[in-house]
Amino acid sequence: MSLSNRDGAIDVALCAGPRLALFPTAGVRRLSKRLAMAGLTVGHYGGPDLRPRGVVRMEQDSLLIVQDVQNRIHRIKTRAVIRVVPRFDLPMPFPGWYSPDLIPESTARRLMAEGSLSWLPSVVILGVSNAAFQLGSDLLEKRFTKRVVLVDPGYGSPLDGAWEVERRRFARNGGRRVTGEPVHLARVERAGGGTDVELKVKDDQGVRVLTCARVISVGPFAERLGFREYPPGSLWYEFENTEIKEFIDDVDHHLLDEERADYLAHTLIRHLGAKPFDLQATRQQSLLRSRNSFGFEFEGKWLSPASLEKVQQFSGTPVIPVEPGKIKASIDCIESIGCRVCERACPAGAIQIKRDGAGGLGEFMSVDACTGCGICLNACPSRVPTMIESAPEDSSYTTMIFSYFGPDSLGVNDRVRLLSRRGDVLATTRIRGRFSDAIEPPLWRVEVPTHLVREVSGIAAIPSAVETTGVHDLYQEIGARVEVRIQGEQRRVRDGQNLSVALYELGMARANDTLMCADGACGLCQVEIDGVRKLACQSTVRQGMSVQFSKLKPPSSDLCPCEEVSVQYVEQWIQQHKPSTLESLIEQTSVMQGRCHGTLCSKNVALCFERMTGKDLDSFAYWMFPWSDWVIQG
Amino acid sequence: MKREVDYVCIGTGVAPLLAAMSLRQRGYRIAVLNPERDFFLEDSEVPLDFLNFENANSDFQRRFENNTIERVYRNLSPFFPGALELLKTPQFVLPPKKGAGFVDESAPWVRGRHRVWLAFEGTEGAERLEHLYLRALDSGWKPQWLEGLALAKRFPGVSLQGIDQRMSGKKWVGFQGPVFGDVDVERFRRGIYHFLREHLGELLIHGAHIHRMSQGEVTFQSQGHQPTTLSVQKKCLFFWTPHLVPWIESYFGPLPIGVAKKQLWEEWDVISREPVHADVVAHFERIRLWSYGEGLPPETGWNRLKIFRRDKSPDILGAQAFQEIKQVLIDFCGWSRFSVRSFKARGLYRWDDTQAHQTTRDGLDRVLIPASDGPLHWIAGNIERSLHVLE
Repeated sequence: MSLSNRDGAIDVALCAGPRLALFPTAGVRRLSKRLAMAGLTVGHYGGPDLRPRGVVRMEQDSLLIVQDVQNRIHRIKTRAVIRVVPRFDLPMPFPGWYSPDLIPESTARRLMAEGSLSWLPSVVILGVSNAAFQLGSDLLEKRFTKRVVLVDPGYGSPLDGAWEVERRRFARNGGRRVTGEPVHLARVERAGGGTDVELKVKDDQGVRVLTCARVISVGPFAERLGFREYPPGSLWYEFENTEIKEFIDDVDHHLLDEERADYLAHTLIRHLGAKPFDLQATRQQSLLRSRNSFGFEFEGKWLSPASLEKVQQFSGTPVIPVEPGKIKASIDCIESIGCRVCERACPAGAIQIKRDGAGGLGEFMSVDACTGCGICLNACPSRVPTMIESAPEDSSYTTMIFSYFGPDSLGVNDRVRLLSRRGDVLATTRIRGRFSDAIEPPLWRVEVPTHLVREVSGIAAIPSAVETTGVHDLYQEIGARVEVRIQGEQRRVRDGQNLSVALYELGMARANDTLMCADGACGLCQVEIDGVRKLACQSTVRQGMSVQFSKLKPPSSDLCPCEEVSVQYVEQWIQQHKPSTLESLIEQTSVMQGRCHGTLCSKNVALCFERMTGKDLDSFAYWMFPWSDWVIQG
Repeated sequence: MKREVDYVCIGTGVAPLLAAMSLRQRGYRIAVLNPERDFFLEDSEVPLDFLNFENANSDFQRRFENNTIERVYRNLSPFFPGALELLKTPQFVLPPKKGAGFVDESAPWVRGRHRVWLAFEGTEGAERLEHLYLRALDSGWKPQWLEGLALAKRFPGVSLQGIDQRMSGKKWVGFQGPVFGDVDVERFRRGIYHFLREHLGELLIHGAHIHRMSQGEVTFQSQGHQPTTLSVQKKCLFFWTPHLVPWIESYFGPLPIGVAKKQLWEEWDVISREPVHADVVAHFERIRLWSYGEGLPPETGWNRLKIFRRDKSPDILGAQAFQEIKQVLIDFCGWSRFSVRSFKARGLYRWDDTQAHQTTRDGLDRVLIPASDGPLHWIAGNIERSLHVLE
C-alpha cells in the first residue's frame, strides 16, 4: 500500500462518524443546503469510498484526515467540523449487559432483514422512544415473535417520547409495556433443553423476570442535545442523526434530523460570519416536540366519556352516521405531532393540518372534501386512518374499511377480530369484501356494530391452528448452504451471508459481535479466517472457510468492556480524586482508550461522570484520533 | 473574599505545580491559578529529551549531563511528595529481585533506557548518523557502533520472524548510546496535583478568570464561586507554555523575542502485535520511538509503541509521515501492518534562553518563567533555578 497526499481547504466539513451506515443523512442534506445558501463551502466526507479518520487542531483552523478507497490521504483544512453520528443505543451498564443477547436496534434490524434465527418465545425491548415502539410493532406485525415486552428503564430519560399513535399501534398488535430498571441479564437453561435469555427488571414492587429470545436496546436513554460543540468554542460539532433511506420509514426522526440541521446551521452561520436565515418555521416545528404526552383514557375496554368526546369532536373524524352514499376517512390522530404523511398523501387535499397559536393542533381535516379514496390508510406509518361508510340511521351495523399489515393472508368471509386502541378484542366479525382492487396492500370492508364505530381502531386475524415457528425467513434460501468450519466444528451456513449474521444464526455470536457496524468501525469482532485476521462484520461466508476466534468471555457488566473497567471502579475513583474534567478521568482510568475508541462506553462514561460530579456534560463529545480502529497495511 | 499570599503561580501544566511545591516547602503561602479547566489539558510535558541536535553547536557534554538517570532523579525527587522509584539498569525485571527492598509499583518510575540510533546505509540519514556518532564519541558518550542483525535486535518492536531474510541484502547502520533517564509523566504530575489540591484547597483554582491584577492584588473568579482577591506579598509568577501565550501577553506584557521556537511534534500511539523491548529508545530520522507504559511492564512486556515525529513544515499526517513510520515498522521491524490507537499534534518549544524575566506593572511584581514545557526533568530543573534567582 502506498499512501499519497491530497490537500484541500473548505469552510465546513461534514463527516460520517464511526458506525454511520448511510451517508449523507437527511439532516446532512438539509445542513449542506442551508450552509451553501449562506455562501459557505461545504464538503461531504463519508460513504464507502471516503473514510474520515479524525480531526487535528491546528493554530487557526482544523485539519481533517480522510482516507479514500485508493489509500490516498486527504488533508482538508477546515474552519468547522461536523461529525455525524448515529443515535447511541446502549443502556447504562448492568450485570450481563455486554453480551450477544443484548443488541442495539441497528443490529436487530439487520438480523430481521438478513438472518434466519428464532425470536421466540418473546423479545424484550429496552427503551420508550418512537423507535422502540415501532420496532416492537414491526416484530409483531411481521410475526417474528409472539410477544414483545417494552421496558421503560426509568433512567430519568425524557417523557414518554413516543407518539400516541405509535403506542397505540404497539398495543393493538399485542405489545406489552412495563416499567423497571434492568438489573441482570443471563442466559439460562430451559427445562426440556435449549436456553433462554432472562432479563431481571426491578421496580417498586420487586424484581420481575422476563424470559425472551433476546433483548433489544433502543435509545435514547437520556435527554441530550442533538448537536454538541466540544470543546466549547472549537467549532467541532457532533451531530446526532438517524440513518434512514426513506422519510416514510421513520418520520419522527427524519423530521428531528432536519430540525436539528436547521438549528446547527443557524448557529454555525453566525459563528462563521455569514448571513443567517430565519428560524421561525423551524421553531414552530420544534413546538410540536415539546408537547405533553397524550393518551386516551379507558374505562374497562371502552373509551372514557372524556376521551370519546375528544374523538367525536376532533376535526379528523366524521360525524356519524356518515352522509348517505359517502365514504369518509376517520383519522383520530389527536396528538399534535409533526408527521404530515397523510397530508402529503391525500390527493384531494382534504387533510390540511393547521396548528393553533401555541403550536397545538388546530384543524386536521376537512371531512367534506374527503372523497373516500382510501390512500391515507396505507400511507400512514402508524396505521391510524380507517374509513366509515354511510349506513341507514337506525342500522345496528356500519361498514368500516381497515388496512391490515400482518403476515396472515386475509380474504373475503374470513373472520377477524375488532381491536380497540389499547389492543383489547371488542368483537369478531367477517370481512365482507375488498375495497378497490387498485390498492395494495388490500383494504378490507368489515361490518362493525354501530355503537363500536368510535371504539374500533383496527382488525387482527384470528390466530390459526398452525403454531408459528418464529423462524422468520422473509426470503427463501438466498444462496445454497455451504460447509464451513467454525471453532473446529463443521457447520452449514448460507453462502455469501455476512459472517456476523451467520454467527448469530448458529448461536455462536460473541459479545464482540453485538454492534455489527456497517463499516467495521468498532474493530471488536475480530476473527481469524483461514489464518488471516479479519472483522466478522466485514466478511462473507464462502465454501470451506475456517473461522477461529478467541475463547468466548462471559457476559460483562463493565462500563468499559474493552479495558475491563467497571462502573464501581470509576465511581470510586471519581469520589476519591474529585476530577475537574472528564479528560482527567480518561487519562487516569483508561476508559475509552480501548480498541473500540469509546464506541461502547463514551456516552455512558460521560453520564456516570455527570451523575457523580454534578457537572453538566450535555455537550460532551469524544474526539480521540483516530475515530475508529485504523489499521495500516504493509 | 480576601486572602493574603506570598506568591501566585499562574499557568497550566505541571510547571506552576512544581513551583508551588517548592515554595511551599520553603514556608511561603501560595495560590495556583490555572486559566484552563484542567491542568493537563495542554499535555505540555514529555518523559524524556528527544535529543534533537539541530544546531551544529549543540553541546553534547551538557546534554549528556542533563539526561543521566541520576540527574533526572535529582531534578525530580525534591518536588515529589512521595517515593520515586528508580530503575537504574535497563533490564526491566518483574517482580523485583529478592533483597531489593520495598518497591512501590504504583509510584512514578524513573528508568534508564539505552538510546539507539538507526539509519539506512548510503542515505543522507546515514551520513548525519556518522557525524553524530563521532561527536558522541568525542564527548565521552562511549557509543557502540552496530550494524545489521545486531542493530535490529536492539530495536524496540522488531519482529524476529524472518529477520535474517529481511536483513540480508539491506544495510542498516547505527549506534547505541548511553543510558538516559525518563520518567512516568502522568503518575508524577497527578501525584503532585493531588497533593497540592489537598494542601492548598481553595487556593488551587481551575478555570480562573482574572478580573484585575494591580496594586499588589489579584482578583479572580472561577465557575460557580464568588470572586476572590489575593493580596500578593511577593510576586506573581507566570509559566510560559504554548497554550497560554495570548493570555500571558495580556497579563504579563510582551514576551521576549528569540527565546523560544515552536516545534510541532506528531505523537503516535501504535499497537504492536509482539511485545516490545522496554529498555531502548530508538532514533530514526525525525522519529523517536519507545515502548510505552507506566510503572513496570508486565511479564509479557508492553505492546504499545509511542512514536514522536518532528514536523519541519506543515506536513502533519502527510505522506512523508506515513512513509517514515512505515519504513520503520513494516520495512525494518517486519510488521505486516500496524494499528494506530491514537494520534496527537503537540506544540513544544525549543528554548534558547531559560532565564526568568521580571517586571513591575500596575503596582504588582511579575515574573515570567520560560521553559515550562518539554522534558519533565528539565522543567523541574529550570523551576528550581528560577526560584533560586528570585530569592
